[in-house]
Amino acid sequence: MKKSVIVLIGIIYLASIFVVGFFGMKVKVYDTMVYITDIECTNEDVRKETNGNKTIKFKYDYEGTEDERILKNSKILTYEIFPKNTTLKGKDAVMAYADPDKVVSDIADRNDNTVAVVNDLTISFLKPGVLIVTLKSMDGSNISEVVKIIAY
Amino acid sequence: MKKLLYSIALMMVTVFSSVLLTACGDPEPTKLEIVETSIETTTLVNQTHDLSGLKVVVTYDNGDTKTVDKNNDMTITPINVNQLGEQTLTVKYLGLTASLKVKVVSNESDLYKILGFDKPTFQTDWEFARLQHSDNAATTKFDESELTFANRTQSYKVGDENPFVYLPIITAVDDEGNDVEFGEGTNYTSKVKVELKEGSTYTELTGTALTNMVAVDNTKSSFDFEQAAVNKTFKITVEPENNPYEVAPLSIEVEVVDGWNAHTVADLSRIDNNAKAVDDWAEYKAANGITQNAQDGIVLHGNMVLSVNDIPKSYVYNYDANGANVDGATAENNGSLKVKKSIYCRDTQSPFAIYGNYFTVDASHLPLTKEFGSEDFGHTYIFAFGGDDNEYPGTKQKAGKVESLYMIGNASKDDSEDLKGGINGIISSSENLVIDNCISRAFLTHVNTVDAIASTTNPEVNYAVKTTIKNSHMYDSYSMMVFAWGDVEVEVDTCEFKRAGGPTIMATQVVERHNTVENDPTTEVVDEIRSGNVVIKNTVTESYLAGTEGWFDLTPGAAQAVESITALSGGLAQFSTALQAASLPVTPKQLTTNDGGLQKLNLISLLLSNADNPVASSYGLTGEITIKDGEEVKCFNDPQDKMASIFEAVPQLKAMPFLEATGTDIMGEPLSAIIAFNGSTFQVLKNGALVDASADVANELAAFFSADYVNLYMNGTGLSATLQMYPVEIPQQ
Repeated sequence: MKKSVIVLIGIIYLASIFVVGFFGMKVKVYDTMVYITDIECTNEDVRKETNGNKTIKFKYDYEGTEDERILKNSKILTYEIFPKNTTLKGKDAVMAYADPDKVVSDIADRNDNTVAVVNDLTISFLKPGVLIVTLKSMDGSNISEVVKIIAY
Repeated sequence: MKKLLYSIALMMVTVFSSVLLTACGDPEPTKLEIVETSIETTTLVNQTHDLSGLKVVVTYDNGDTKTVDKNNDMTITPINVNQLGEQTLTVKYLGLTASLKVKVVSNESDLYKILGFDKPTFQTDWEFARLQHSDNAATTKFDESELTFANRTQSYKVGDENPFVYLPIITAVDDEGNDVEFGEGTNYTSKVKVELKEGSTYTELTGTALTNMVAVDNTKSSFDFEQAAVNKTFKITVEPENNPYEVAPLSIEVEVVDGWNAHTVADLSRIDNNAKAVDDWAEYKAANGITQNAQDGIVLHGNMVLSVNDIPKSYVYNYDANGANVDGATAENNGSLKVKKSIYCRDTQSPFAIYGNYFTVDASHLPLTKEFGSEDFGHTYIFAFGGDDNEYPGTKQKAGKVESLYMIGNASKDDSEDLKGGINGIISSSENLVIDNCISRAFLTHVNTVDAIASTTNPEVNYAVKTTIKNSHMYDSYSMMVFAWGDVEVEVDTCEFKRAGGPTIMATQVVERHNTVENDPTTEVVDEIRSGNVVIKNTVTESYLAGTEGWFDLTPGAAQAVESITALSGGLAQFSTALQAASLPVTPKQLTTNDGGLQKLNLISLLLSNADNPVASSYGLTGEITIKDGEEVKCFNDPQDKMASIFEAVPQLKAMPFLEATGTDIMGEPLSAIIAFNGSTFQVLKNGALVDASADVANELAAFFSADYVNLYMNGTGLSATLQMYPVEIPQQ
C-alpha cells in the first residue's frame, strides 16, 4: 500500500478530531450506561409504614365464582424509575420477583402453599395471605423496591 | 254479556300466569357458606361472641350467588365461649348447613391471625441473585445475562464468630385487618429444627449433639455456630411455637465457615484492622456498637449500600468556612473523597475471606475524589488486602479470598474527566488472593495487584504476590479491569471482561531510580526494574475503544497511540487484501472492528513502563502476558527477550512500529511472525532481515494472518499492546 494512502487516512482521522474539537462538538462514540437509581411503586393505595416498608392492603372478597374472586382480588403494580434518562426503559427495566414457593403463573399449577397467580405485574390472590413483591432493576444497578401486599 | 267477557279474560290471565310460573320455576339453593370475615373467628374466653354481623352466601343451581344477612329464618348453633380451644359454629338456612371454625383463646394477644410467614428478605434476595438471566441485548440496550453469576449452586454460607439470624417476616392482622406486631421484640418464639446434612441424609440434632454444634435462641430465631460446625452443612427449619396458625415452616440450608455474620453495612467495618486507621474508624464503630473486628472472614447476609455516612468522616473533606481546615479542606473539594483512603483495609497477617453469598456491595453513592495530589487518578479502593495503596505492606500478607460477591462502583466508561476520581474495586499485596465467582461493575479499576518489596525499615517484607481471578465477570470501567504493578503474578481464568474505558488488562514495569545529585535528572541511576507475569485463560475480553474515552484523554500519549494504531490498521487491511488478491495464502485482517458504526480497537492488554513518557522510555520493557484458550497459547507477549534478540538482528526495528503474531500454529508448534511498517509499506521479518512481501515469505505471512491476536511494539520502546485481529469487513454490495 502506498505511503500516501496511509498518510491520507491519518490526516482525515486527525482532521475530523480537530474539526470536532474546534466547534466544541466532541463526538461521543459509545453509549455511557445511565443506571437506574430509584424505583418507586406508584399504586394509589400503597402506604408507607412507620418502619419504612411499603404496603398495599385490602380485604379479600369471597363473593362470586372462582374466576370472579380472582378478578376482584387482583392488583396491578405500577412503578416509576429514576432518573428519566436511564439506558434501560419500560418494562425491560424492572422485574417483579416474589417467593416462587407462594406463586404460580398458571392457576393449574397451584398447591396448598400457593397464595397468588402472578403474571408480569398482575397479582391475583387465590386466598387471603401475604405476598412480598420485589421490583428489581435489571440493568445491573441492583436497585429494588419492596412492596408487601396483604389480602386479609 | 259484559260479565261473561270479563270472566273469560280473568280465566285466561290466570291460566297464562300458571303456565308461565310452572314453566320457569325458582332456582334451587345448592350450597351455603358463612362469610368468614363477617364474624370473629377468634374470641376471648368468657366474652360474648358477637354474631350480629353474620352473613352467609347462598349458591344456586343456576350459578347465581346471594349474600344474606343474619335473619330469623336462620338457625344458628353458637360456640361455647366458656370453653377454650377450637369449636364449630353452624348455620342452617334454606335446608342447607354451613359451618365455621371458631377459636376460643385466653389471651388478647391470640386475637389475631398470622397471614404471612415469609422468607426473610436476604433469602429471597439470595434466591433472585442465583437466577440465570438470558441475553436480551438484541431487544434492549442491556444484556441481562451480565447479571448471572458463573456458579449459581454454591451453598449459603454462615459464619461462626457471631449468631446468624433466621427470622421470617411475620404479618399478623386482627379481624378488622389492623396490623399486629409479631416477631422479634414481641412474645414470638420460634420452634426450631436443626438437621446435619451428610451426603443426601439429614439427621435432626438434639441434646448435646445440637449444643456441640450450635446455640439456638428461640426468641430471636438466632443460631450461634461453634467451631465444631465449620465446614459442615445444616438445614434450619423454623415455625411459630405451637403454630396454631398452621403456617408452613420455612427452611434454609447453610454451610458454616470461619467468619463474622454481617447483617448491616456497619458490620463491614469489622473488616478493617489497619493499625493506621484505628482512630479513623473509632467514632463510626463506637456509634454503631462495633466493639470487635472480624477474625477470619466476613459473611454477607444482605445487600449493602454504602453511603458517605458509612465511612470514617476523616476520609472525606469537610470544609468549615469558619474553621482552620487543617486537612486541606476547601470549598472546592468539600464533600469529596480524599485520595488514597481505601475503605476496608485488611492487614492479612492471617488469612481472611469475604463471602458474598451473591449479595451486593454497592459503592455507587460514594463521592468522587477531586483532589489528587501527585496522582493522576483516584486511588481509593473498596477492599484493600495487605495494607492499602498508601504504602507497601509492613508485614507479609497471607492468603485472601473474595467469593460470590457483586460489587458496584461509581466510575463508568465515560468521557467525563470527573470520573477519574471514581472508586476502585480491590487492591491486593496478598501472597495469594483468590477472587472467585464475582461480578463487578463501574469501577475506575476493578482489581489491582501491587508487589511487596523489601525496604530499609522492613527488610523481611519481600515475598511473591499473586492474584487469581476466576469465574468472574467485570463490566464497565472508566479505565481498566485488571492492573498489575511491578513484580506480581496474576492469573485470570474463565472470566468475562467487557467495556473497559482503557486497556482491559495493564501490567506496569516499575523502574525505581534516583538522582545522585538532587533535582538533576542527568545524574539518574536506575536502582531496580520490576515487572510481572499475567496469564489470561479462557476469558472473553471485549473493550472496543475509539481512543476518545476519558482514560485516553488523561493518559499521556495514549490518544495519539490509538490514532497511530487505527491508521496502521487501515494499512494492514489494504496490505493483506492485496496479498490475497495476489493469491498468497492470507486471510485479510485488520486491528479494528465495527462497533456502533465506528472502527474501534479491542485493546486486550498493555505492557508499559512507569517512566514519565512510556512511549519514549529508554528503560526497555519487561514483563509477560500470555493469552490461552484451554492449554493452547494464543498469544505470548514477552518484550524483553523479544527486543534483545530482534533488535540485535534488525536494529532498524527500534524506529518503526511492528506487529508480532505469537501463539501456536496449525501444527501446534510455537508461532512467531513479525510484520513491520517502514513508513511506506509492510515488510516481513525472515532470517534476521526485513524483506518485502512475496511468495518467498508466504509461510510467514500465512502464519501471521492466521493469528487471532497480535502484539504491537511502538518504536521499540516502553509500550507493547496486545490487540485482537479481525477479518477485513467486506462492504455490502
